[in-house]
Amino acid sequence: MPCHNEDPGCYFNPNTDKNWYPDDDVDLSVFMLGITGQTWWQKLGLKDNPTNLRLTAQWDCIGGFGREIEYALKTISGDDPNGQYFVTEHQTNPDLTDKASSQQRPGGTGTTTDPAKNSFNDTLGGLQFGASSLQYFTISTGSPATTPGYPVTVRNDYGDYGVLGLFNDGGRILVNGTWPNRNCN
Amino acid sequence: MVLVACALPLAALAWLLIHARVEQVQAERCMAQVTALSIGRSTFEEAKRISDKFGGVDGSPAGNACSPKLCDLVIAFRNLALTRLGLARPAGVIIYISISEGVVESVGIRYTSPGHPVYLAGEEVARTGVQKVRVHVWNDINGNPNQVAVRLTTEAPEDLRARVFAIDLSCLGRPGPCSAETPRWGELKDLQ
Repeated sequence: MPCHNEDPGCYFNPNTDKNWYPDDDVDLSVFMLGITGQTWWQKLGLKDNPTNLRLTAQWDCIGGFGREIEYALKTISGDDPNGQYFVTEHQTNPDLTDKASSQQRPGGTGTTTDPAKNSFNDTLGGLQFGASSLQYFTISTGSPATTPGYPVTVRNDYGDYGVLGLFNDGGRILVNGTWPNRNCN
Repeated sequence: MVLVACALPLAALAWLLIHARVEQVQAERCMAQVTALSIGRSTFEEAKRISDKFGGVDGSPAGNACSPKLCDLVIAFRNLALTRLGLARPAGVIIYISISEGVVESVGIRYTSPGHPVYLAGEEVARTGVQKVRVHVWNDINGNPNQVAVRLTTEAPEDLRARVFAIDLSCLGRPGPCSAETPRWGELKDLQ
């Protein structure tokens, strides 16, 4: 079961389907720090510590196609990150929003956007009324098909979440049981 | 006795096929009426009449019951009869109508057909700083599109509007695999 940042020291590697605890690799960390002066995330080619980033909802409203949530990658303090990342959406039940296709591999819908934007536009709707799903996001420096992804915590008006619960209520997608209170226009 | 045993399943199958076809025809009628709405001019009453006729529901913001001042209507058509019996994969269309201050402000169509990207086509009132045509493509992990959105404003050319809203809904009424590529994404790629 992916740890999804609930444990701050734990990272889920979608490529191996295994959780990873970098702090447990004490010898390796110490070795790397001693030789290179780099942190574990720098060693992995990241310019930011993923645990210090938040995929922050810029707006959450009812748009032309149902619910629209615009996410931007920010630091905990709300600044822009140093690096540029692909943002990839994962769902335990991709049928919820109809995005499933034969091209997708188990464990995620793998929906991405331009890495330069450090953002993700989530347009939520779907035909699978009554279906539910867990949604989480990963970031990667390159294409998620070939580059390891690191879970990123979502920040919205209600708090910080490693995983979001989605429910299709007759075409309205509730996120953690909420429905937006305004229109996008 | 044998005749009855054979006739019953056949009758049930015929009923299912008719039901699926009726759903498709209803969806086509609804979409024709919705796309005939004049964004920025058609009234709440016109939109509500369409919604009521086709079983639409209130999808307004939390804490706001649908009223001419602010209302979001959601109308859905699905090939449920076929999918429940495993005769087809899920296909359907969800139509969104947004009303503000008594006037239709936007319409949106979310179309899902098996094996094709989810297609979102919408039109909204033109506003300063908003491009006439906006296309957004979501890719799957291998870089193939799995959702495509085309958003027009009322300033977009009429022929483009016709292309964007030309959605073939035949997958809703047909059992088996659906080969109809809807939208004709190949024809819309030039919008990117």
